[in-house]
Amino acid sequence: MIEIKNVSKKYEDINALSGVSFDMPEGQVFGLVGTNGAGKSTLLRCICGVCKPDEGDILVDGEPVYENPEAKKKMFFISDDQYYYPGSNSEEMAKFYRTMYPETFSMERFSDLMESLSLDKKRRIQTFSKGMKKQLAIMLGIASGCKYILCDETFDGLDPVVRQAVKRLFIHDMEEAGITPVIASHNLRELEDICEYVGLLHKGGVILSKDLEDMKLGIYKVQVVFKESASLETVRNNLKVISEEHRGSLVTLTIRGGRTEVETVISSQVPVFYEVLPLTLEEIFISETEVLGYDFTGITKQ
Amino acid sequence: MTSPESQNSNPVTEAEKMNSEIKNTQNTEKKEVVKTPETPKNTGITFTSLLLEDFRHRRWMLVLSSIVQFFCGPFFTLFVLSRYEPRYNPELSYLELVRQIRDSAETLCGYLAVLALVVAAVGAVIVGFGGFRHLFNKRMTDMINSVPVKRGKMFAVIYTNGLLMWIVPFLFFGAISFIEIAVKLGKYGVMSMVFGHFLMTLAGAAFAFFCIYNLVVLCTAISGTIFNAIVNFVCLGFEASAFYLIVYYMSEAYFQNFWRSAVDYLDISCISAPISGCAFGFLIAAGSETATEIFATPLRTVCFILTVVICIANILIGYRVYVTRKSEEAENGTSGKVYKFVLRFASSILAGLYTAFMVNQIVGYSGNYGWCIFIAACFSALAFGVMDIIQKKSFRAFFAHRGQMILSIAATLIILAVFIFDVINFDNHIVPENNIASATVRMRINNYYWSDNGDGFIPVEGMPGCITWDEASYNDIYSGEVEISAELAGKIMRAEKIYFGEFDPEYGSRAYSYDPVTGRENPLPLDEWSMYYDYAQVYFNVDRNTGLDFLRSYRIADKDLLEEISKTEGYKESNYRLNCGLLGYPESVKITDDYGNAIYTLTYDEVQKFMSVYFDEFNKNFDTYGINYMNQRYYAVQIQCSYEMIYNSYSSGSHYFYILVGEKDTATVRMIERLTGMPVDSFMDQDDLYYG
Repeated sequence: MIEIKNVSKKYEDINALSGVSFDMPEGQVFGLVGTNGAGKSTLLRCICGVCKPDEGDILVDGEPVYENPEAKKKMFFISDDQYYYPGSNSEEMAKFYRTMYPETFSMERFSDLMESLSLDKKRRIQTFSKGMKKQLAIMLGIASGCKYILCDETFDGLDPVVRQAVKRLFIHDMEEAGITPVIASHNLRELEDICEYVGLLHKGGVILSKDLEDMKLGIYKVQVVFKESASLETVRNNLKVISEEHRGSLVTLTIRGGRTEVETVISSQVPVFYEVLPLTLEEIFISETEVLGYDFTGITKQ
Repeated sequence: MTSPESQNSNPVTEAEKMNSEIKNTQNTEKKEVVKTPETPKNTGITFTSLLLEDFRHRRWMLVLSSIVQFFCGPFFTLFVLSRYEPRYNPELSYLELVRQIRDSAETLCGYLAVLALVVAAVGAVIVGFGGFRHLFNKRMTDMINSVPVKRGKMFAVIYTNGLLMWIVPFLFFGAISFIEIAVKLGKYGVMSMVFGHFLMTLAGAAFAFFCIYNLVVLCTAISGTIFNAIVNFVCLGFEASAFYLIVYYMSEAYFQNFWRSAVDYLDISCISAPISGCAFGFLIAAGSETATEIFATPLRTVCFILTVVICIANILIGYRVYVTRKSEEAENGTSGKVYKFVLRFASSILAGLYTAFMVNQIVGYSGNYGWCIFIAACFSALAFGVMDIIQKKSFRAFFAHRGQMILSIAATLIILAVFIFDVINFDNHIVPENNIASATVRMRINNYYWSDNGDGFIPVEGMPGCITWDEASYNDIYSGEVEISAELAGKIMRAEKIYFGEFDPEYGSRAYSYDPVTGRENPLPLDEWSMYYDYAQVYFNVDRNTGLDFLRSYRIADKDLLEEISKTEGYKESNYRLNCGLLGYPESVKITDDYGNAIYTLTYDEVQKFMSVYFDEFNKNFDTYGINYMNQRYYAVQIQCSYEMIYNSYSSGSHYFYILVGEKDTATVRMIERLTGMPVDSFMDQDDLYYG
């Protein structure tokens, strides 16, 4: 398990992370989502020991990670723009990582993966497309045999086929080898398919961190048509309404709370029609950040 | 050209195919994948494996190093040896042949030592910057810092690899050069000497390499870009020396009685790793006898030790900075707030002072310092702003630290004022007599030839008829040094002096007399100050109880005081040692007119006689030739000495110099008249008197 305890990090005068605390349980795909500049990359860089937090601790399986090779050899960091030595080919990069992860790196696995993705091991990496470079980084990460694979915007730039293949690989290795992929991304639809656990970052702090299903159970979207406007007021007073949208008489409410509680309050107002809909991760994200003032709906009015 | 991603023509089919392949891969690997996190396959990351890995990614450095060292070693050796071969004339006697061969082997070793030093210096810069280049690239830094290797270990690996990339080719090609010399010249018994040279060259080059390499590593560790690293290298490597030089130049230019610094440049060079590394490296490479110069004075010994300490400190600081350095500093400017300020501050002052000094030198000494001060302020501000831009990588940063910029300008102007207006009262400083531990004095009575005591000409032992010209001492135009009492030293310090003040467009520099006790200064009358030969230059060296040397060069016109100095015990012996034997064997003596035209050339016998008469008379009438010589008319007598030059290579020729015969030296004057058959006044212009 990766434990993040009250971690803060500053870049000159900018607070990249301030007092972030949550746990990343092992054996699950952890999605790290957040607004632009929320500190996702910084957090990943701190977790893999690239950066040292100004305050707080990061423990990997109970061990501090910074400058600790024993903890770091359980982790492979795939940055959003992975570095490859100039003039090198995939095989040479694999050899590099084999030197760095001598206990776990499998050249055979790497070769097989490269073959299945139709990537030439001998081809110079600088002739690769952006997507191919991403594929290579992921293959290196998987072949490293590390327990934790930290992916920063890794799915960006991958075509849908490879994206699916990578997801399958992650799920397979998670089940078979017990790896824990940590994926930071903006693409919430992608994460929703694969992630079981989600941490939501905003302005360097954690808004929430929980199991995706639990998260969905605690927040609902309700489409409702009331006979009288007073009914809406009653709902507002009795439930935690995060947002509401009006289209004619149809009102769409985002409400925090248990499903039974929500249904009881709404049905008590005898609406003409109502339907409780599940929220996507993206909707949860928008709702949660809107509450914190991260809302640009007014941009079209200017 | 087909796009790399356009290969998937049918995504669905391709996806299915890929998924099934991946699945197959997973099945075949299943056992291994499950095992990998727990079961180690290898022993771990060893230092050697990291070394090889690092080497794999910068093989080009080794190739470059090898190519350069090949051309500077075996290739050059073979080239020189083939050039020397025609010199080994079989008609020479065996001993002469051996001497020739030993000489050429020694010369070759000297060249090789210099080349090795150059390669070491350049190599240190390239290997140092190249090895730690990941610090200039965020992505590379992230990759290096994310792998499970301690930063200290990574540092050690990169550092060691850099070292090996220089030393392995050096030893290899050095050995080949050694073998080439052994094959060509080995039978003449030069091998022990060549081997000794090789070891000393290795030691010297290694020393230079360490000094420069360590500084480069430190500069890389504190910088986020290669440009900043180079700027830091230049600043840390040369700024302190540049400060020393500007203080020296300005002291010479603005202080009336500054002579030289108590600390020479080699002594002070320990403040610059590249300079001291190369200087001491050269001394070591030059051979065991020359290497003792490192320990020639206690100060130099201390400096050598300091150089070593600074060299080690540089790498320790570099290591510390590397280990604690934040990853995010890659691609930024320079790290460390205090350090950055010090660098800006120092560079700003240096730029201001150097520019002002240069302008002053170009425009000339005018006594009008307005422009000088204005330019110093402008360039000080400019340098400060530019350094800020470099450090912050933003043009907006020019005025980012206005307060500090003003502080730098103020510091520049204060330092400039110290020199221009003698704020520290340098020229009038008098050491209390009870602080004087010992004092020495040398005088120069304003004539180059007259004061030459012949030290530059050395008879060659065992080679009759030959003299050699010692270039170093030839330039020493000062008369001999003599110890004086503290009381006399006090008198010299308090005596009235002459100095040249403001510029007069008609007459040039105007002379003043000033009294250092009262600070009173009087312009000398035009007809007096234009005859500014009427003084003796007194070079004065006082050792204080405090341990600091007090060095001054005064222009003193007080003849009583000068005579008192000249009557000091040992003064005569130390100053007038000129004699015929010491000069070797002059071929001819020409008596010339005012314009150097020969009136008469003496025969060989006459030369010998003339020299003995001249020197007898000279020594007998020492006092006449001493201080009273000033204001006396003299006649120039040209002496031609044949010589053989033994300085790097053999050559022979003649050297001319003049002896000035004073009009009161009646014996010599009479002899000249007898020899030429003419009264001296007939060929010496009465209206064009020379003054000693």
